Order: sequence, then C-alpha cells, then structure tokens
Amino acid sequence: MRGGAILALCLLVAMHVPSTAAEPSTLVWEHDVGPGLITTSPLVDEDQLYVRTSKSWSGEDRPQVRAFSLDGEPIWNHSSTTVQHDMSPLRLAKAGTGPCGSWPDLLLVGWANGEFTALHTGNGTVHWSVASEVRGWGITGAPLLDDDRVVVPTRAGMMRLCLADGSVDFLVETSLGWRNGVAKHETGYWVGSETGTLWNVAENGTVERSVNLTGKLRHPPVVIDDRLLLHVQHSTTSTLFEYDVLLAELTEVAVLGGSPAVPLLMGDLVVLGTNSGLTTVMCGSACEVVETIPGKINGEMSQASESVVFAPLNNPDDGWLRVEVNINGSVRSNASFSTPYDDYATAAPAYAGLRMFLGNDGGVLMAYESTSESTPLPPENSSADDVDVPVEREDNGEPSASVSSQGPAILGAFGLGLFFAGVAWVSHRGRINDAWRMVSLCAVVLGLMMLPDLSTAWNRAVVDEPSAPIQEDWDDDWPSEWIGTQVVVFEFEEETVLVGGLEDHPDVWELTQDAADEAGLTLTTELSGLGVYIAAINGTSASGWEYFLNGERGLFAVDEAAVDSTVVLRWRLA
Amino acid sequence: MFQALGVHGPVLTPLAAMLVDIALVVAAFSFMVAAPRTNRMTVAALATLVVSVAAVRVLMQPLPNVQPVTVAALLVGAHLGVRRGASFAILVTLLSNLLISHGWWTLFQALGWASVAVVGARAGLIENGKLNLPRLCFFAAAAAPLFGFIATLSLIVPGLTAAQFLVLLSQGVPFDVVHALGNVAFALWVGPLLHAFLGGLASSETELLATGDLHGIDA
Repeated sequence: MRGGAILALCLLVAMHVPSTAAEPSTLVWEHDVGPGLITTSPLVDEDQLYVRTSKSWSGEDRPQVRAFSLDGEPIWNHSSTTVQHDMSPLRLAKAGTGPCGSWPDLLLVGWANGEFTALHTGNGTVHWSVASEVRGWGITGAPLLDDDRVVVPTRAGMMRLCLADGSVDFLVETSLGWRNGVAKHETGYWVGSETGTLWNVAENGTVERSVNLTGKLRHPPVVIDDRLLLHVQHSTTSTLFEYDVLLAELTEVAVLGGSPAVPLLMGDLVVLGTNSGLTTVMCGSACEVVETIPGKINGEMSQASESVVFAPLNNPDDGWLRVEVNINGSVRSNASFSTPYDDYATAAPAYAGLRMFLGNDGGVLMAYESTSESTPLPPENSSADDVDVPVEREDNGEPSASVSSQGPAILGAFGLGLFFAGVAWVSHRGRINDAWRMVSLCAVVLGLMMLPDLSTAWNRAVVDEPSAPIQEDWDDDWPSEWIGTQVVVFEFEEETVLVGGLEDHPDVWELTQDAADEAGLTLTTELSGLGVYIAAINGTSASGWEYFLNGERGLFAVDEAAVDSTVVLRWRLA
Repeated sequence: MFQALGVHGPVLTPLAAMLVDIALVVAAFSFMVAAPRTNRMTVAALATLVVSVAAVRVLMQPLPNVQPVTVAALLVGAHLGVRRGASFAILVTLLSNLLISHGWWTLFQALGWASVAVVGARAGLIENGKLNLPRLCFFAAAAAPLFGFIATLSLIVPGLTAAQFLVLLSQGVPFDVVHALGNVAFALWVGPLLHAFLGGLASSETELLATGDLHGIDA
C-alpha cells in the first residue's frame, strides 16, 4: 500500500515537472494578415510593429508590408506588384544625418521583383525606391545598414545606396545570390552566393577576392573578430566553415544537417539551425560544436534574453523552440512554444517589453504577453538577422513556453526505469523467461518508436546526395523565365502538367503543394510515421507516384527530401 | 525510401497477376500433397493455422515490419518439414496480401517466408521433442535480413544498377532490425504455444493415420 502511494506520488510529480518549469504567457491579440504567409521575422520599434507577407501570388492578391500598434491596431499597409515569395528580412533605419544627406525613420524593404524600397515608418509612403536586376527573382537576401548607407544583396551581386535619397554608390556584379545577406568587416563587405562563392567587395565597390565554398551560402557571414563563420548548404547536409580573412584560410568546423537557418550570434556563442536540430557553437580561438538538440529549424532565430533563444520549427504542428543556453554553450533547457495557429514556421519572434510577436505560414500575427511581472522584456528588439549588433537583454526577460517538450522525455525515462525495475524483480524471482519476454516487448516498442527517425538518419547516411545538374531534365521548349527557378512536372497518362517559376521551396513536399495549387490539382496524402506519402494526384493513384529530381529518382519521403533553388521535380506514375 | 510506399517493382497486368496467383496456389498445394505423412487432419489444422497467422498479420499491419509470419514459418518448417512449411508460407502470404496489398511483391514475400521455413526445417529447433528457445530466437533474428533481402529483390526494375540495388538494400536495414526484434519477441511469447500445437499435430500424424484407418476418422 505504502509502495503504491509512493509510486503514485512519483508519477504525479513527474507529470507536473513540465508545467512547473514553464512560465505562463497569454495571447493578448492576433491579426490575420493573410492571404499570404509570414516567413520573415516581424520588426519592432518604440511603438510600432512591422510585418511582411509572402507567397507565390496569383489573382489580384499581392504581398504587403503592414504596420500595427503594439496593441494590435492596424496603422498602414503597403503593397507591391511582385508575384513571387518575398524573403528579404525587413530593416529599420533610425532618422539620421550623414555625408550623403539626412533621412527620416525608414523601413527598408527588399522585394522579389528587384525593387528596394524605403518606406516612412509613420504612414508607409515611399521615401525612395531603387530597382535592381531580376534574374528569375530579385532581392531575397538581408540588407546591411552601414552608417548613412545600406548595402543590399541583389540577385546578381551587391549595391550600396544612400539612406537619404536612395542614390546608388556602387553596383557590383558577383554571382547569383539567394537569401544571402551582407556582412561587414574592416576588409570590406562579404556576401555568399548560390554558386558556392564567397565574395569580398571593398567599400569602393571593387571585388577584392572570392573564396570557393563548394556550396550555397544563404545567410550574411557571421563576423567574429577576423574570422567569418559560414554555414554552407549542400543538397542534404551543410558544412560549417571558419574563414580567416587575414590569412585567407578556410577551415571546416563541422558537418551538420540540411537546409541551414540564419545563424544567430550571441557573444562567443553562435546558434545554428538545420533540418536536424539546433546546434550551439562556441568560438574562442577556434570554433567548436558544443551540443545539438533535435528540431527542424530552417529560418531565422532570435535572442529573447542573454541566454534564451527562440527558433521557429518548420513542421506543421511544432510551433517554436525555446532554448536556454549556458555560458559555455551547453543547453540548459529546451521547450516547445505552441500557439493556436501552429504551422510551418521560419520567422523568429520579435520582442517589446513584456510582449512577444510572432507569425508563421498560417499568416496570423500574434502577440503574447508574459504574465510574470518579474520577467520584463527589454524595451526594444531587432530581428534575428542583426548578427552584427548583438542585442543586450535582461536575463529571464522573455515569455516562456506554454508546453514543455521535456514532459514526455521525463515520463518516458521514468517509465523505462520502472519497467526495468520490474524486469529485475521478475528475474530475481527466477522467472527468467518472463523477464526476457518483457525485455523483448520493450525492445520492439522502442524500435517502433525510433524507426521513423532512425530510418531517416540512416537514409541520409547511406544515400549519396543527388548530384545531377538541372540540365539533365531541362526541356529547351520551356519558358526562359523559368531558368533559375523550381519547375514541377506532373506526368499523367493522358497529359503532362507543367508549373514553373516557383521559388523558395525547401523540400519536395512544399514544392509539390505549391505547384499543385497553381495548376489546380488536388493532392491525396497519407501521413505515416515515415513521412508524407502522396497517394494520388488529382484523383489518379494507379500503382503509386514516384518523383525524380533533375532526372534522378527520389529516395526520401517527400517532406524529408530537400530541393535546390533551381530544380526540375518530375512526378511520374509508377 | 521511395516516395511511393506502394511501389514494389513492376506493375502487373490483371492477367499477369492472375498467373502469379495461380502459380503460388499450385505451388502451395503441390508442396502440401507431395509432403510425406500428410493427412486430412494435418491439412485442416494447417489451414486453420494459415488463416490465423494471416489474420494476425493483417491486424498487425499498422506496425511497420512486425511480422508474425516469420516465427510461424520457422516452427512449421521445424515440425512439419520443408514442403509443408513452404506451403504454409505461400498460403499465408497470398491470403494476407489479398487483404493488405497484393502484387508482384507477393511472389517474393512468399519466396522469402518459404525460405525461412526451409531454414526452420534444417536448423534443429526441436531436440528430443523439446523446443530449443535460444536457438529459435537466434534463427528468428537471422531470418529478418534473409527475408528482407529476398523481398527487396521485388524492387528490381529495368535500369536499376547494382549500386542502386545495394542502396535499396541498405535502406531496409532499420526495418530489418525492427523485424528481427519483433521476431525475437514473437519467439519468446508465442513460440512455446505454437510448438505445443505443432508438436501435437506432428506426433499424432502416424497415430491418426492408423486410428483413422480403423475408425474411419481419416477416411
């Protein structure tokens, strides 16, 4: 009897560990900014919140940049003519004066149609706008504020503009860029590209040098003293490099998961995200990986306090990951933060006072407020890309998780402990066969639980990355506008449906969904523990569908198969 | 893995599917009839076992690669011999696949489990009428990669290179591990019961034939 009571008490305590560890936060307002997704972080100044929408647009709908009061009142909105996904992070430029003139408070916006626009923060009107070259798409990377200038990564290179009037200081061609972003070092500006090259452009606009990275760089290089930390993307993996700009030496730090997120610099600590999880890296004299925790993190992350990071989880129901790190880079705790509108997420939260603002592919902007008076947030925050100016925040100054992800793990460990105690007891009683039976059953259950993750990890280990170039499956009859974009081909028995000009889709699943939407096709899917399975396209199932990337047969579940920014995805009946 | 979980090599036309079915049924009954000491009692009991194991397989289908058929095939092979073991394996595969998913792969799954039955018949699982449980566990685990290899042969299509086939084979390793774990669990939980059932059936064959001749039971 006493033993049973103790057991019940332990179970009760174990079940309450998560809820006592989580601080409460409340959804204080929400605003549906759709149609469109929120794929980049909202931005906050003293009294306003800015957010942009993104989507592959059709019909009359177009992307918007919208301003709200911190209490959720709409203030203004600005629309563009672009029809492609807009992924360039917003930037705020405080009013100032410099050698090239004076400027008011500005919101700087890069567009997929190549325009770079400075909007008045008060009413959203255009202060100036500059066009840049479009090759398939326009501006998708992160601009850099540099005193009285803004340096913009264009599709074909880089341009520097005067904040006062948008006049062009220089315009330099490097190579195709996508979601890349600019960083500054005393040696000049640094920007990556889709062609595997890291470019160094001097402040006078001349190209000083280029470095072969063997992969795509889709974030602003992270400047640490005289080193650049570069998270280079390959088809299914990524490599973290250190580049010594003075010695011109490139050093591999680690091989990590696919589809890297924008790195987040926190002093000596750098936080990285990939399909495989969140990784902490300490950069002393050399950079070393400290720890990785699981989670699919492909977008931007933000720093909520000195030790707390919020990372969007790019799965339909996962919300955000709240991670608390120690000074040595180890993870002290992690928990998921769930909202009523959980969806694929790539945008980091923004913070103001006790409030946290976030949005995702669901297209709903949400404001959460910490209900704990002892945990005020810093008064101001900038977005995740401000890696060149680390944000100082008060400790514990963030709304915390509403649901802890540690609960199931603790319960599981507790259950396993109990189970093995039971096995030991049965074995001690001489019932060896019964003990083995229990162990075998437990092994099967654990094997089944681990199978999806194990299978995915194993596949990544044994399957070579697809290496076929797009030319392998390119049809010269296709429109030239599709060059440099993602193209999807649905091969039915009677007809072939083509959808091209798609962008920004990280995996086969998202690309297929978007293409099917545009073509008016329906998808019938089945969700198994091994991933998403497309059972029928427009009602046609036959003996199943197979996909091919640039002519090579796909080997992963569709939501696990990463795709390049330029790819031909072909669906064929088996 | 392939996106199409339902893609298992060549797609059969209705005629080809019918021919595969006929070939499997003919093979199963040929093995059954050709086996020594077969009587109607054995056939009836084996048929019951076929239906039962097929039903369990269908019920357990949501659990990926947990296969009750493998241990049953090992024990049927051990007790009733190669031919009836193979017959049992073919019939269970055919019957359960009609309810789960039937196609070209049925041929290879039947071949895989028939091979397991052959292994069971040769592995010395029964010693002096007693089940050697550790040995059964070992062969149950070892049968998983054997079955996995034979079943993977069904994925061979024109144009598939040896290297690609090896990739396919290696992709199945985690599933083979789960299959092996499931087999060991089945061996430990159900093995002794099946042994008792099949042991009684095997030892009664000679007696039943004699008694049946006298009393008309087996007439």
